[in-house]
Amino acid sequence: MVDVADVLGTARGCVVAPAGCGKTELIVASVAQQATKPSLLLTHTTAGVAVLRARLKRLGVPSSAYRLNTIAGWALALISMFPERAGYAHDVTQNPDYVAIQNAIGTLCKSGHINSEIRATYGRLFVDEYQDCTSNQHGIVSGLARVLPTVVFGDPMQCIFNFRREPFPDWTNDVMGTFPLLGTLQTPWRWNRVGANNLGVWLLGARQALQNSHQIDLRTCPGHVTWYPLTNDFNQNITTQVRVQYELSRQYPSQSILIIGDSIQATSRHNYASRAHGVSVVEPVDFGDVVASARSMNSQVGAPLLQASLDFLSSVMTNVGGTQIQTRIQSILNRRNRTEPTPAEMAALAVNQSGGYAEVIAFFKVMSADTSRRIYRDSAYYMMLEALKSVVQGAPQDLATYTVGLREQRRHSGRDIAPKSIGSTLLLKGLEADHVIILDADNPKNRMSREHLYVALSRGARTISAFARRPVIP
Amino acid sequence: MTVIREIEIRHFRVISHLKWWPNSGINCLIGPGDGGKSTILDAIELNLGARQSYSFTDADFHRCDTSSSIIIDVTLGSLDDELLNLEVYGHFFRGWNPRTGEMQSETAAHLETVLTLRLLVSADLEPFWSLYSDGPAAEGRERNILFKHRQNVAPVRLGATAAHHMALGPRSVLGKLSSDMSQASAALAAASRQARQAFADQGCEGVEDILSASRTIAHNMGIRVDDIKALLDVRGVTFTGGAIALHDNDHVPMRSLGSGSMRLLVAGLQKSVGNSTIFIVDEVEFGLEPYRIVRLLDSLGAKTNDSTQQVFLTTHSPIVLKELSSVQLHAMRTTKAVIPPMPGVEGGVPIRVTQNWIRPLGDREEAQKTLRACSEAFLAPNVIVCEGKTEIGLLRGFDLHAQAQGQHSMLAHGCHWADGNGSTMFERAKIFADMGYRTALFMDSDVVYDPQIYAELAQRNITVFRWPDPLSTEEALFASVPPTHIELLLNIAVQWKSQDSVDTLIKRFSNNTYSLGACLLHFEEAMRPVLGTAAKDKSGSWFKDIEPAERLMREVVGPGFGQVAAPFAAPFGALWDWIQQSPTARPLPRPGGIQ
Repeated sequence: MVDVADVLGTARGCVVAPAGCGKTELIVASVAQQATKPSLLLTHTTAGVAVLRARLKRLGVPSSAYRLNTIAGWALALISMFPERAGYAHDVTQNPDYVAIQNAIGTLCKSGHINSEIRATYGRLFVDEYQDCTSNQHGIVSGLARVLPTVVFGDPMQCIFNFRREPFPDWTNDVMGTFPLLGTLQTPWRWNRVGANNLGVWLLGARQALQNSHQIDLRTCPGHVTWYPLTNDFNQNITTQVRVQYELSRQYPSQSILIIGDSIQATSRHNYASRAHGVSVVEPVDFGDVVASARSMNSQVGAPLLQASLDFLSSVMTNVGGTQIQTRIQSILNRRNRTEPTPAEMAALAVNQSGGYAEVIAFFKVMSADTSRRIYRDSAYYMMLEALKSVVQGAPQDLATYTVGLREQRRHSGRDIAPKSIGSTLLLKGLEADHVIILDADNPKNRMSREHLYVALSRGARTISAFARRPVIP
Repeated sequence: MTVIREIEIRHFRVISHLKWWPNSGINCLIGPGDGGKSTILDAIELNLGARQSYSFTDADFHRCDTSSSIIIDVTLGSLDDELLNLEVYGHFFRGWNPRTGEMQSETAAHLETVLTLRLLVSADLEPFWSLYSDGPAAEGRERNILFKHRQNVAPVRLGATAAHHMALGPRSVLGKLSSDMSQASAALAAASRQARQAFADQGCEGVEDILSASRTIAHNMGIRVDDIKALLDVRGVTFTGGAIALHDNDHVPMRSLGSGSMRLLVAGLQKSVGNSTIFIVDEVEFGLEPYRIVRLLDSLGAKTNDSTQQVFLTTHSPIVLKELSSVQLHAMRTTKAVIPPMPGVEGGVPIRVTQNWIRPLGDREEAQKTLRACSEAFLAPNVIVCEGKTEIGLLRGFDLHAQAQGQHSMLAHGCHWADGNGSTMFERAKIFADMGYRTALFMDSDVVYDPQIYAELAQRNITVFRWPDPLSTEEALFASVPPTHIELLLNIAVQWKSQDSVDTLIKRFSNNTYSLGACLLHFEEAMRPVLGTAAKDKSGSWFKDIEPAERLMREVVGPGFGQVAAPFAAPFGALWDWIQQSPTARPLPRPGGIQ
């Protein structure tokens, strides 16, 4: 078992931390130890920074005890200080090329040029989520480790990516070669806390099996893990899935549920959310389709703006009926309509008749107030609404630019996850809930890797509901 | 502890442009008055102390020309961890090469990380303090050193008056003794209240008229006041830290101590506080007897070469110089010149240029010996390095003779002799010349030296005064004095040595042709070389000391200098002219008293 004394007693080490086994607590407790200089605490994502900051604050660790940043953010700060020694001049007016910057800072940290400054500034280095570090980032951390006592925390079994732009260090050779294994965390705190000790132990076993390329049997943890067979009928499957979700909600009314959908096709996850009431979509941090919609609405008025608005609404709301609205507008304009226009149609008409963003906002509000329609992607919808409002109120940027700004702001503030959310393993990584539903654990077209499977299974503290063709996966 | 590695001053008072690399430990500046020594001390204090209270005037600009800004850059090295903090000062770290003094815009493994503090004063006279780096990292960034860090680098200055250190206050060394002033503040507030209460209880005589008039006027104007009293104004009796001062057991304030005692006390306090490690002392000898000078210098770390503090001091005292090691000594030079306009250029104006530079004495063994042996010489602008004691004696003797004739002494002309101690004279002459002294070498010519040596001396503008080859001083003397003076020289030799020894030597070197008696009674020209050889012989050494040489010059050669022949008179006359022509020479007194 690894404890704070082990972490503080080593010059270089690595702690392997399976999900829910108290990694963050160990890091925070290590940082909290009295020291003359702050510890440098680095992690991979801004979301990770937000999680650590919240935990440090909650435990009352004085902010003088640590300097918290992403590796990329820290490298960006350093590159502006030593452009010559790092051999890279970053133009602050341009978007940072993080690959080049991290590469240059890795070289700088290894060069010894700033050893005394690093030693003067920080007492120790801790790096979280080490399994996600690229080779360049590993270079930076290895460089710093020549000067500072360094412990890295991570779990190779939670190493998942959407795509690899950069090389990654090999865990066994590169990472553990530089940072010898201090130990593996083995107490499943997350499950023990809610009395699901059996599930915690089962997951540690599953992790071991997956790591050794063995299969796992979803029927071996009764009471916690339930296998639901998938059929060839897509609609039948989704009906069952929604029913299972409702059943969980009924049984555990105030508990959270994470639903793990297809890792590639966002639309299939949106599709699920449009069918299951009360489920929010966890959006990727780049909010790609919201930004794209803002671009298509940018500087538009009248009919083109209405069409772009309808396209956006259709991606976040049920029963929009865009084509039908357009047809009705033509009828109303030609006075061929037999029924009176609905409030929604009146609002759409206002946009169509040289309307601007103010009319779009009014239209959106009427649409969302309509009980026959339901917003199933709240965060996407409200981001657009906020951008529209700000531009109407005279924000200096155009809609697309403002939306990008909002996105960056959200990226740094971290995200709020609704009690019932659907996302991919990548999006839900690092999050935890009481229950997890895996919609397709053995999709032959998009097979979940062993790491994806482990991340998916380990999200739920109380129960796992896994849909799969066979009970033994992968 | 922080050390100043480089000081660069532009357009500040007497300094046009100066770059200086001081050492850790003691840095003693010497040089003629108005040469800029105090300007450097002020520059350091203004830059590092960041005293907002100092108001700059046009007179602070070099030649009162406000079109060029005053720029004072002080570069700090040996930074402590707080100043080395990447996140605070990372953009301003420069790299300094201790071997070459070269500064790079970013630090590196083989360089020392330094921070440059800049004080900039433009024509608007507003001082502006900031960190400075010419590197791309600092471009467009503006940052000052944090207040708490400035506290640690702000120097303590031991000026002519140290009285303000005797009370608690922002600039007092006492303030640094205690970091927690809150208890004192509470006591001060209580004292202030008590004072007002005591005053109120006692009442105040002599203001009754004012009070009754005020009462009446207030009443007439319809202002409702029940009574009007005279009490102490709250603002008048609010005590700040400055109200607490040190007193002795007779309640005499310590600021009434003699200036020397006070300076000693403050120096001691400063050392025990040990917060700021940069210490500035004007005129270190001020108000102190020699033994107390030594004590003060010891406390400043003169002997231990204490590198935990850095001291900048000025002095005009040879006692101070004798206590220092050569590496601690720096000569400050300022020269002014006028470059005439280019010939043929219409409307050309002469350009006035000032050059400032600082030369270190260095840490070589010979430099140290020179400092010990010739400390007085370092305090004069012109130095005559004399080969040995005989030459010093000759010079002093002639000087005494000249003074007796009503002329100014060579000291008054700004010239001092230095003992060349024989073979080290060349080295010593070079040491003085390299430090910027106008240097002459006064030697004899009985040893043949490599012409290369004379070429090197000429290259350094060292003027050599010596007799024609191959004459020694004694030979030149006996070859040049008129026959009537031979007897006088021999009398001095006899008194210094003895009749027998002088006689024996004359006999030996003339193969018993001459004797002392013959020389005294029947002088012949042929006796001159014999006497010269006998006088300089090691067993004779008739004049080989300051005293006999001084005597013969004052009593014999000086009074009869008009009749002395060229071998002696020409070189010595030229040397005397060199003294009279010194740039710092004092003009001859005019007949008729006041000029």
